[in-house]
Amino acid sequence: MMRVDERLLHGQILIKWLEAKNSNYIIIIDDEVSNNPILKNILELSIPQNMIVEIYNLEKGAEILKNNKELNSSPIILVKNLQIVRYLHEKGVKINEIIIGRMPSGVGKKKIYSNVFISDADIETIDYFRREKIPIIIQMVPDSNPISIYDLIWGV
Amino acid sequence: MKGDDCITQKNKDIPYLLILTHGKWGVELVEGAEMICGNLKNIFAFPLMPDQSLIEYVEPIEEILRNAPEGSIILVDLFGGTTSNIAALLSSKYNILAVTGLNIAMLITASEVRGKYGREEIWEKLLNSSINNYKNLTELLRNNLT
Repeated sequence: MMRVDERLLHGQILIKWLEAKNSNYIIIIDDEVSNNPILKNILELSIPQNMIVEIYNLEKGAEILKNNKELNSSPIILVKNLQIVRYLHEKGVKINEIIIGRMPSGVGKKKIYSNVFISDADIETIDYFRREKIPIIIQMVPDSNPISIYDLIWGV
Repeated sequence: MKGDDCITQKNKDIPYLLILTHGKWGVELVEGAEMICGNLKNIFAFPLMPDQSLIEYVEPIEEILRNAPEGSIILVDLFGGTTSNIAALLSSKYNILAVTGLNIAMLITASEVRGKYGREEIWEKLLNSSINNYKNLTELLRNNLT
């Protein structure tokens, strides 16, 4: 599962998604976290004992995911924004579906759904995935209703 | 919402308590604790709201932390949550005690013991206040009657 969530690893993931996806494997792809030992340490701190978390920068992340066969089980992949997903896709990473958990408010962003705010650059990225025929779904937790972002923006 | 919403009186000598919660219950918690203790000083509650970016959330906390007296404490609602990730980051950057598991007993104790003990002793007191507050009342009553 490829999940876009600015907060990366937090309660929603630890309490809801790991169980729903029956996964104990998380990959975080983020330059800032990967280059900052303190941030890395903090995210690793809250991980339950039987879980694996790997943290990579974008370049290394793309390489690892491209060779998906080497991964022992299906991971939950966490990234902060859609542009990172696009980078991975352009580098040749196969992506079946993108789940958006949260894209926070900010200058020049407009709200399209609860906890999802998008900029013009986001719309361009979303359109890229639409052309690539990769579904983008807004779904905060497994029990919330999945919403297609294409339907929200361009209508059903 | 800013941390100042919750501050009743500011006093530069009393260590600060910073309360980090998912949603606004931290603000309400302070009001609840004041029903028991009267006015609490130097308490700042920072509600994390669903649409907030991390930067938006952290900035006002850092503003308060920069002038926080020695012995100030960050109290966090949920270990492993965003509030806890942020408190961990701040405790690596500022000279401050950060703990998780916030509840009303812990808040009242924190308000009483801040500035009076070292960090380890304070943590011990916060932890005990929480543990001693967990009771199975039904069972206690039954045992008392038999």
